[in-house]
Amino acid sequence: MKLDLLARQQALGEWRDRTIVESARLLNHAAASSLAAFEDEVPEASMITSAWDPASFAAVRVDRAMLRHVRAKLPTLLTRAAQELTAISAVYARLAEGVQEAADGLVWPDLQVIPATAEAAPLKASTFATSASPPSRIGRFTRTLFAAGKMAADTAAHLSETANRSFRERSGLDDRLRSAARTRIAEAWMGHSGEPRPILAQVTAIIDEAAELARSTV
Amino acid sequence: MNGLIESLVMRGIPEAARAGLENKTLHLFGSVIRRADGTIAYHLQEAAPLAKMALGGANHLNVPLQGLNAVSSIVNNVQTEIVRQGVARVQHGVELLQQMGLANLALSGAGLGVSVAGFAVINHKLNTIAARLGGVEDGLSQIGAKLDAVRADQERAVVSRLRALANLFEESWNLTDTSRAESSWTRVYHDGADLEEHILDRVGAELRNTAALPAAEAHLDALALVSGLRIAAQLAAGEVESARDVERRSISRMLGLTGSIGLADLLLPALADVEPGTPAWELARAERAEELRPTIIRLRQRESLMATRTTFLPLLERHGATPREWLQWARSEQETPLLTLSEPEERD
Repeated sequence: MKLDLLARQQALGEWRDRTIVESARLLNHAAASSLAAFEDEVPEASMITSAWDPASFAAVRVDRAMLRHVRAKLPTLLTRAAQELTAISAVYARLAEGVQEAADGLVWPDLQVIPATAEAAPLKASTFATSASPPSRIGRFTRTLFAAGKMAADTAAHLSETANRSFRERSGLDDRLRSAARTRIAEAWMGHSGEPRPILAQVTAIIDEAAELARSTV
Repeated sequence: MNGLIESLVMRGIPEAARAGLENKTLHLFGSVIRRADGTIAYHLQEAAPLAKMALGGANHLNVPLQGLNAVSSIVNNVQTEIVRQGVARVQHGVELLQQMGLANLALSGAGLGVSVAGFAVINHKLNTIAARLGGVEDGLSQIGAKLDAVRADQERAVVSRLRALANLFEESWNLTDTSRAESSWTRVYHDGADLEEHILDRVGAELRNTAALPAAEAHLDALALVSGLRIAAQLAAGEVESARDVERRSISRMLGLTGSIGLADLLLPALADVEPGTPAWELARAERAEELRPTIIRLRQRESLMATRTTFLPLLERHGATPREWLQWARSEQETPLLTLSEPEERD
């Protein structure tokens, strides 16, 4: 066997390992930051959300934070990997272009609008509706009434929220949210399989495909 | 004829090669030291004194040195000094091998160059393989006593057949009748082919699960050892093209087994039980990467060593020397465990 060919294949193997492991590290670092940020958002969740749909609440927030951390960095890492591939041998130039193109085509989680919490939703909706009313005496009166009502509602909401939090902490509802966030990281971002394909699985597939094609390039 | 080889051989690693390796103008790749342009500057070959290392490492050599220093008569002192210098040269060679990280390569299943350093070295390699296979058996004891017993028998049979081949190869060097020796070496080549197929099937099945790689390493070493014996046997028998063919096929098969296995393949599954998005994940990644890296290094070294077993043939051909003469030279070397073969202009 030609030694140059074997040396090149071994360099390709190192390139593949380095790129996949660095991508996993980047995602893990982003995940740690995202989970820390999620902790601040836990109090926003209503009891109903915490009890019945913690996954949706966690997914949208985790995805938002993860995208903020890796949306630019991961393609940059893959761009650098494409350059390194060409540095191993100029014959891999087309494959490097393919890696670059695939990096630009990563399928990210859809960032949905963050749903309002169940208790706060009617208040926000009504705030939005009032601010759109024409300024009239009736309107001013209505706003005064509303302001008074809102103060009462805020106080009630605050008291209610305090009670909620205490109840949720005791009943483990917050832990359900935290668990859902960790699951979102493990399944949608750092998983190895699943549908839609986790980000790490997408990166691994791109690099594996490029390495495999490079090995069979003479 | 030996005069032809003498002009190409250096004992140990020449200073220029060491300097080149240090300043990165030269690179070690399997059994050769290459220039930046990929051409080969030096071929490394294990030699008979490697047996001293196989028998007890460099420290083993300190014992006779201390004993020799105690001898008091003048005559004995002169004789002792001669022996001491010889032993010191062997010790220096062993230490050099260790410093350059070549000691493990030389004593690995693939070995440095062609496997001709003698039965003690092959025996050491076989014992290492047998011990590792034994370790695998221990790990399988949960499966069932009878199945384990069958597997253990099979592993012992592989080692036993390897040992028999190695014995035949070694004993053939002592035959005065060249045609009988060549006939014995041809038998090593043929019988080895069967054993090689058997081990290949075994390790192929093991590596269907990449996570089983550490356990499969003993079989990979056995595969490297048997193909090395077959190459050495064909070179000794003067069947140069056949030796090259064995090398081509064995490296191609080894690459088929391990060429695409990298750190990522072992590392990411090993992190499956650690929660991602935590400092614990990063810590586990670093720790497990450190544990797994030597396995990957051994894979790459084994591939490189197996691809560089016959690279010295064109050099010998250019200078009119035969492979058997070169192997005989390495077997009768007494001073250093490592010989270097190169064009005369590369000599210090």
